[in-house]
Amino acid sequence: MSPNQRDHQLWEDLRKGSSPALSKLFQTYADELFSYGMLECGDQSVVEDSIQNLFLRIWKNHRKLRPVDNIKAYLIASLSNAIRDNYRKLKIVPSFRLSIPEDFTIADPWLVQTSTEEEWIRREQQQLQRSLLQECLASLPERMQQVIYLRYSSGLDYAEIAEVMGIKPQTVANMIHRASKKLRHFSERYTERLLFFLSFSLLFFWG
Amino acid sequence: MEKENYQHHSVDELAADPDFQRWVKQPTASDQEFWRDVINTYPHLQSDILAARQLVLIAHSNERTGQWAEERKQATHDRIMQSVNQPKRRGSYRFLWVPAAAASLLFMVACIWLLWPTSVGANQEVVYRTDFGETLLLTLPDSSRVTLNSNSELRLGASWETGADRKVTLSGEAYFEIEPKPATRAKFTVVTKDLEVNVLGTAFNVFSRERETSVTLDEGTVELSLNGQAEKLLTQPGEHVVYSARDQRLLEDEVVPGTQSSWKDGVLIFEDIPLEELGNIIEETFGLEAVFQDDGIRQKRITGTVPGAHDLDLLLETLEAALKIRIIQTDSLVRFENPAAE
Repeated sequence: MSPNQRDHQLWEDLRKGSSPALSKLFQTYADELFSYGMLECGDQSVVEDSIQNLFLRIWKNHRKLRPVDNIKAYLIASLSNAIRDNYRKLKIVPSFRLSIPEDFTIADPWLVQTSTEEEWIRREQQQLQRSLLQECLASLPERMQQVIYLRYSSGLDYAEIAEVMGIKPQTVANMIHRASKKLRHFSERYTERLLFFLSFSLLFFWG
Repeated sequence: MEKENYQHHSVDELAADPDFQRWVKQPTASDQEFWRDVINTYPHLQSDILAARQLVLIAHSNERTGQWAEERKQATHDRIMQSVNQPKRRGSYRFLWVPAAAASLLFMVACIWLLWPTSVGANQEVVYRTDFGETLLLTLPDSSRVTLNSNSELRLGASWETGADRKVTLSGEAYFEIEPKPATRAKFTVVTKDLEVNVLGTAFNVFSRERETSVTLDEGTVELSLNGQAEKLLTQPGEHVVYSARDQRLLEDEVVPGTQSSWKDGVLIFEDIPLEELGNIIEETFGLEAVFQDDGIRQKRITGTVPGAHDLDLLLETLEAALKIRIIQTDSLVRFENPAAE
């Protein structure tokens, strides 16, 4: 069964009042929901509380649930709402900010040999890629970062992202377009140096 | 997918492609080979591919920001399932509990009424309150946006159905961006102790504290009705009205639009104001008393943009450097001194 079929089966069972289906749904999406929640709010107890309320509400209304196309998108949107409700009670100013973790290693895009003479190439490559990435991230406003996370990590489409963020799908499309343009602009300044290493490593590789 | 298929891909299509994502996240040797080939064959895609890589990396590197510890996840799961699997009580059984439940409900209502009057009132009034140094972004039920400044309180009236007039009561300071309702021409009203602001879709700043109330228009039109005075219409961006019902003091002038509401972006913009006035702001925003060594320093003028509208340390540090004065901060007060005073 594909994940999609599995989800729809779960959802159907849930609507008929199967509590194991609720448990399965939780197990399937808990990690992803938690990660997203932590990015939106950063307070673990708020996120846990919101996830708990989200599932309890689904259960309470299971008879009234409508079929949904993308269960993950539905869950993320509901979680986002639950967190925003919590914000209002707790008076926390919402912010969605991504960062590049210190220990995050960018995988080598090209085959670089690992013998000691070429180790510096690998280090240089990593350094270059990291500074490009930092520069790109720093240039993106919070809302754009949120769109990027929802699109390329959660894998939602424009309409689903719009639902989560409470904006129009056209706005999402515009934001993605602007983000791409921006990042292309930054990338252009690095292209030559990054590709220089590409041919360089090739030389080593074949030579 | 064949490399030919990628030649007309947009940055977004590349970044959303599962094969492309695998190359960025965890490439196999053949992925590395394949994309090197794509780049060599289609040089025009170079910067698109690099840009798409950044999109994927930004999203991917944050996936593990919050990793849910297994035992806490399990605990949340168990709480949910426990509540779900509780057997439902039958009606007759529940009936026995009615007197006890009514008594405890009464007690609870009394507690809520006594202990929690600011958030749940009998008429469903909702109250937002900020502490010193704290701001709050709110979206009202009609999707108007409000930024509530520190040490402020906003009460929402009970009625927010479509088409009904909308009413909020403010003490403190807030910036309003009102969603127009052209279909019903539903009014939006901000009530303060000195005056009422009536709105039809616009953005403006309201400051209402002990000393006075002031309203600054950024865009649109608002109508003021001053308590115990006539009505007043603001139509020009930058129009600024200061009013105190107690002192029967009314002042109208013009400011640069946006300067009065700069606090919501974390900065304060001053145009030739005495340090004394900044002292008021510090008292109202951070709850500390401002003390001046002498009149000279009290009347020292400030002009410019200062960061730290909600970060006192940053604000004082900046002022100290810019004005070449000494500022001493204790738990309850901020003292402004001449640099010579040792």
